[in-house]
Amino acid sequence: MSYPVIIAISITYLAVLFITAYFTQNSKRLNFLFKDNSFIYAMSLVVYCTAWTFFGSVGRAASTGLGFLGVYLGPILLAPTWIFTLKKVIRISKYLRITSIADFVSSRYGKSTTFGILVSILGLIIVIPYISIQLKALEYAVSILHTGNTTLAHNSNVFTSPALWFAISFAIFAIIFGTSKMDPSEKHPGVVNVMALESLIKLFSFLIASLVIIYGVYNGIGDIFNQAYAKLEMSSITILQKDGLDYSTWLMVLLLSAFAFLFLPRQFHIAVVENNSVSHLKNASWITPLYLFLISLFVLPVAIAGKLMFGDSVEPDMYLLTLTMEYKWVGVLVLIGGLAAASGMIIISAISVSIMTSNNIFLPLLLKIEKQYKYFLSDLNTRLLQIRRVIIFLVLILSFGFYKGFSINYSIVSVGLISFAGIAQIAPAVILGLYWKNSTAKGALAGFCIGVLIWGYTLPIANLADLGILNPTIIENGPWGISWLNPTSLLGIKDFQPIVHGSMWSVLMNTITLIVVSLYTKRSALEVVQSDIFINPEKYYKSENPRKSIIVRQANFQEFKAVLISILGSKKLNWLLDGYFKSHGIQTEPEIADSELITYVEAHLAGAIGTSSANIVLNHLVEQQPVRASELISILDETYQVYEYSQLLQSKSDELLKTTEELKNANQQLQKIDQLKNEFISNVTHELRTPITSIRSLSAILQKYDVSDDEKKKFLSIINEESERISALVNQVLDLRKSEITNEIELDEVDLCSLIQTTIYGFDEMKGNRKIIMNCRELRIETDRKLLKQVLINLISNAIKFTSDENGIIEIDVDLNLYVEIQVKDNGIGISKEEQAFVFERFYQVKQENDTKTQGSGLGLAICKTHIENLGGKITMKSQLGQGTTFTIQLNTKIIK
Amino acid sequence: MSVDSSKKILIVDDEENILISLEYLLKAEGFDVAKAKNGKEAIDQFSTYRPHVILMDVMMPVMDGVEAAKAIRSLDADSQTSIIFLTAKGTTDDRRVGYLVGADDYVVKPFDNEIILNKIKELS
Repeated sequence: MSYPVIIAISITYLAVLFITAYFTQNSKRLNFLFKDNSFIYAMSLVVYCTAWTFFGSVGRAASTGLGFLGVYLGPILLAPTWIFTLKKVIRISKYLRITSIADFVSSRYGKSTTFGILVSILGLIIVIPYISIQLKALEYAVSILHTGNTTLAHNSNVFTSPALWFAISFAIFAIIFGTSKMDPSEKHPGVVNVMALESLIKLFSFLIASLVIIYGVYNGIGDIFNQAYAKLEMSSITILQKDGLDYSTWLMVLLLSAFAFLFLPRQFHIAVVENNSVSHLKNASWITPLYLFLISLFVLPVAIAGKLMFGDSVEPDMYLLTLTMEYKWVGVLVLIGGLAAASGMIIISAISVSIMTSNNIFLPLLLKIEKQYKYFLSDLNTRLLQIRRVIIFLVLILSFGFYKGFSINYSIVSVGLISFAGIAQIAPAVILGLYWKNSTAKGALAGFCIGVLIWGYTLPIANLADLGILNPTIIENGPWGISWLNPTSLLGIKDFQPIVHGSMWSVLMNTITLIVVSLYTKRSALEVVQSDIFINPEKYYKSENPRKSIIVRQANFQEFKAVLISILGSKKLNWLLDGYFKSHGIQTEPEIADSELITYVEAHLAGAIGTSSANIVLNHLVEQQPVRASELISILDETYQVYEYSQLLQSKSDELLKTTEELKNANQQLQKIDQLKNEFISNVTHELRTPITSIRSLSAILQKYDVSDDEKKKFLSIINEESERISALVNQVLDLRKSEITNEIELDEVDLCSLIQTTIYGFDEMKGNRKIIMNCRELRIETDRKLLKQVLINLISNAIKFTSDENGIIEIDVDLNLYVEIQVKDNGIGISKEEQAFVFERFYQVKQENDTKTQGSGLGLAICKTHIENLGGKITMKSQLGQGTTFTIQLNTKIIK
Repeated sequence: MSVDSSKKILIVDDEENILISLEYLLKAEGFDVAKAKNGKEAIDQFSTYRPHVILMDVMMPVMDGVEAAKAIRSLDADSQTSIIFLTAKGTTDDRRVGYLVGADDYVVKPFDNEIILNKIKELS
């Protein structure tokens, strides 16, 4: 077949694609028809079947028999669960306006920008080799059609390489229909319809070609198998053992393909973002598996037929084409089928990756430098679209480059499986994120990074070494000769296919790390909010009311508006705001955009630029206040609530303990005081009763009996005496009371020596024959005259009491050291050591020699103590039995002169 | 019952003035009176004076009334001496203690002269 013909066919095919996309997108009638169609949805999911399916399965079947089936069996087996798991994912994504798998993951883990970036990069890394093998398959196909040779002609001239032109055309298609405008829902109905169409074309052409081979070239499947029995080893075909294709590999392939069907960026985009209704899932869950079954149906016979006819002289991937070479039109069909298979994957991958990277990598970057380059933010809308176009173009060019550089040596299937294993690193974070509320961002990130590192080391690198691009000794002996670091047999675990080995280690360590780190880390407030949406989406999407803002935010309305116009465009923004204002009955533009408005707009913004970017944009704008506790509690799950409550309780109980301690102390104090009060009362009443007894008794006697004059005199004098005693006691009690409750002191300038002298004079009569001497130095101090005098009176009268009339000497000395010191010394009987401790206590009276009660109240010294303390001083006592007593007063007063 | 002028009363109190008043009162009523200033003296006086009634203050230095009463009771178990406690305290506990040690009566200070006289007369 000549090049012009091939080119013509290709162009025609592409034209069909463009036209289909254009019309189904723009014609309202057609659009409506296609939009609500679960069949189209089911068919679009089958973009999963790429050139790998179309060409590669046959190739794989040729070497591993039924081993090719694994990648289809995974999704087939998982399809019944879509009505639960995929439904949940779709609901969450609709509610949060998720735009890509990276967005999904980042959103779950507290709108983590880092995670978004990492997943986007992974997506980018995986997509390039994958696209390159599509281009490789196409180039092979074209080459075989053109030359009729079964070997690939090596084209050194890049510009005549068909792959390049295919790449460019697909890029243009993707750009035109994938980046025409910023749609908040990121739906591209034209593209989806084209995908569905291409799925039908794929199936159709594969089936036709297979049937031609089976019934045209051979005489039915029986014929093929009979011939095979004769020529080849059957065991290699039907049984699973070959090239080490054992149970472990089967299982791993099943698992990886099940993950890949949903988590590959293009798959997520098609299955979740482009989904129009969850009701479509019901049909899709049987239509799609049916499709997968049909497209696998004839793979084995074709493979065997190919092996029979060509053996190893032809690339097994190309059996479909080479077997039908006689039938030119079948060849064209195969080409078209191949184009359909490859272009579908390429276009959707390019679009989804461009959305992912623009939202999760470039936008955050832009916003970071926005502060310096403010103009970037103007018309963010258009800029983002531009970025996406550039990305699409770059991805395709890089994929072409990759193909030219490496793919020569790769088999389609091995690259595909490595990509599957790579994207499987998202699986633990997503699956646990959907069902385990305690998976934290730190845990997921750690698991993801470790998973990707191990994956990178055990799979791509090991493969590169295997191909001789890197030093092969890494595989034989391990890097630097460390055998347990051998990328194909870590820790010495051999006997596994590299894909199994690498996938197993990476996913296992990923999951373990995620779980362990999550157990030791806590979720941030935002993570808690987000994870609740993911774990219990029913709480949110079902509710009629708009999501109540948990985090209190506000922003200046005009600034708010300005930024949003640059992203959404003024028309869209006004439409949004009008809707909001109308439903809230707001007539004029507010000055402040409140939490509710911000949340409302954020939801729409997220649809345009992704949740994490929307979050970033708004964070730049708004003032964020701490989470509203009352509202946060309403969405918190039990454990967090318990945690928070327990923290609260802990601190409350600590407070309580402290307060209780203080109360106990206070109570003890009060009890002591109460006790003291009672003691005081009983002491005072006791002291009062005694004199009253005498008075009463004697008065009664005087009344009743005929008392002699002498006795009368005696009795009356006793009555007098006791009355005075009562009086003195009452006065002292009052004094003591006064000095204790009021610390009122009247400060005055006092001439100390003259005060003391005056006091001494007062004792002229009472001292009897005792001597009172004063040794004073001139001092004027600031103190309360009355209180000080009272103290001196009490001390001197005590001294008089305890000294004998004949020999008593009382000395009053005044000195100035650090303080003003006044000493009252006597040479009286002194106080015993045991009693010294008690002298200052109330009512304490020292026992006298003759054991008669002293004529005192016991309050004198207590009063002295209180007075001196109120004056800011100290009073102490030294005494020795039989020798005398010295009271020392230290006053901390201002000295005037 | 007529007053027995040979009735001996021992009054024990550390307050001089109370002793004076009680002494006069009892003598005026025809009793014989001895005095003691504390519990120890009371015991001594008891042995020598052998009173019929003891008016005993409780709160006293050296030995208080309760101790003294105990001692006196143990000294002379079948003695016919009556003990009346005189005290400023009036709580039931004290009364109980008082009765436990064998007091016959209890009077609270300040007392009414007539009450004391009546109690003494009753005990004869």
